Amino acid sequence: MNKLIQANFSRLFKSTFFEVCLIFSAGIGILENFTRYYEMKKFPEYYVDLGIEYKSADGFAFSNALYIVFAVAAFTAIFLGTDYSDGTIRNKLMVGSKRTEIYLSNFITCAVANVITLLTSLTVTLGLGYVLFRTTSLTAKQTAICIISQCVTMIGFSAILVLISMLIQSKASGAVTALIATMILFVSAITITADLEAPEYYEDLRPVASETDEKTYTTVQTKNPNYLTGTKRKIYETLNDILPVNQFYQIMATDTDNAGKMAMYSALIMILSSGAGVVFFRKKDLK
Amino acid sequence: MDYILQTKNLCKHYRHFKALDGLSMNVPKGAIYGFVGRNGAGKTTLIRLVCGLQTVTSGEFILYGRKNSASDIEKSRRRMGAVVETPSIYLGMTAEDNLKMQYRNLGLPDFKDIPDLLQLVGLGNTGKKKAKNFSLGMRQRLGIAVALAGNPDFLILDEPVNGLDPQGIIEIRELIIKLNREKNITVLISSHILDELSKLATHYGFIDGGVMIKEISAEELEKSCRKSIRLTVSDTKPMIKVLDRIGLDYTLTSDSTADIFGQITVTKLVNLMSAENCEVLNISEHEESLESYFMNLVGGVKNE
Repeated sequence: MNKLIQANFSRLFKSTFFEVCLIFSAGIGILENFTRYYEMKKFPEYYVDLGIEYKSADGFAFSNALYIVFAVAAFTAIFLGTDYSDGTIRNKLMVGSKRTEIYLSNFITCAVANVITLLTSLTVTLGLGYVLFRTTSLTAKQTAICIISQCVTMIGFSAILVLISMLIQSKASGAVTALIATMILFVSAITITADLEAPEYYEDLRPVASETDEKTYTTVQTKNPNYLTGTKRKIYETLNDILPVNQFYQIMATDTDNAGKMAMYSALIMILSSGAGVVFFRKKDLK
Repeated sequence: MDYILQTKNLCKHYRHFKALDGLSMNVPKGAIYGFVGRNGAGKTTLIRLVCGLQTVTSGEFILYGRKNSASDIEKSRRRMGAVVETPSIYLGMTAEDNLKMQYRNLGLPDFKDIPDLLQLVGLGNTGKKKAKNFSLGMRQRLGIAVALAGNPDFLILDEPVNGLDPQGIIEIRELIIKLNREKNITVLISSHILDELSKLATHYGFIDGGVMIKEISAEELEKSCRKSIRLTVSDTKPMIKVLDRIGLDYTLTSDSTADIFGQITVTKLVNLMSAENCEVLNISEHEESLESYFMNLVGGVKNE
């Protein structure tokens, strides 16, 4: 399998699309930092009352992953789809490589490429951010946990993308499917996070009977009917820990309490996706 | 005879469609085996099975003495190269980079043979030109070069001259002959361009409806197709007597006709027949081309 991995990496480092992904991920970091820095300088009064994360290098560094998931989805589908569209996957099979080796070497290559893309963004964001803001909101340990967690999540997410890309022989269909799947995960992440973060009670303004004509109101704690409880809440919490984009959301908020659990779920996603991918790919009729 | 590839009752079904329906074939070592059949006859399906792109439904094939079900069939595949349908090349890479990729797939230690290989297929001067800018013929030759990486001794080419201009067809033909004669590479070529195939094949396999109709050597085929005089007579017994007497080579094709090979004087032959009370009903020149041979076969008996 080593020779296949070497061949894949040599192709990866010649890939224009991979270069575009790296530029995109670095660009996000640069844009985010400069926009925030510019606004902070232009409207300092707005930033006085804001938290330290708004004025530090690492405040929004981990939110970049939410954009990068779309770039890596397109990259993975195109990188692996090229082997189908150019017919070069045949070259690997015809020289006696086993299908399991081909699948796993592709997974390793894409997982590494996607982690590199993520790390490029983090490096640029944190590096440039430190130059501009001269301060951080997280400790070194917290930063390290967030970086490692995002990398582990990215590996799990890559396993899903590789599964899609290896089982769809059309490059265009593979790319579209991978992007739609990412969008579904993205929307799920927003919905689940919003539902979980919804308050149990909300303050309701009620008019109070008054002797004068002047209307007065009082705040009443009203039970939120959409507040998740019991089994439903547990399911949402579990999904929040399992789904890759939800994991990115949690890390984005530098919520690393579940880091161990999320890493375990990412490992499970990787094993299940790759296992299923290998089984189906071995049975697949190729053209 | 040593065979590189043998198939026995090979079947490949796609749901209810039988692409191969008990195909049996034998590719002798050192041959240029012309695999002839109409579109959809099952040529590419067989090639896909041998290359490991698809799995066999039933039956078996033996490649370099290993059955397709053997756990180490990959070892046999390492001895072959193939171009299936379209050349398997990265269009965004140069010819040299494409070969480097295949060398890496093979785990070859260095790239020192690549210039020779490019020279062999006539792509020595392509430089930094990417494969997407190559002509169809150049892509086909690059596909063959990729298939030749790792020095295989069995080359499978699926419709290698499809879509090529006359110059391209000649170049591919010469390359195949050169590989077969100079490097002793056994070649299996699938094609439906019979005229082209007849210029290089040493053996033929005719396939139709997923079944091998006939396997024949080029020598035998030439005998079947050579120019003759077709004679229709009232009685074949006196005709045989006359033909044997004058020492002509002939083949009886029915109970009233015979194909006579060699130079004959018609007047003399008719006089001799007449002397034996044999009436000559018709004389015509007859030559069977590979095309008509194939058409007769396809319309004729199966599994001969």
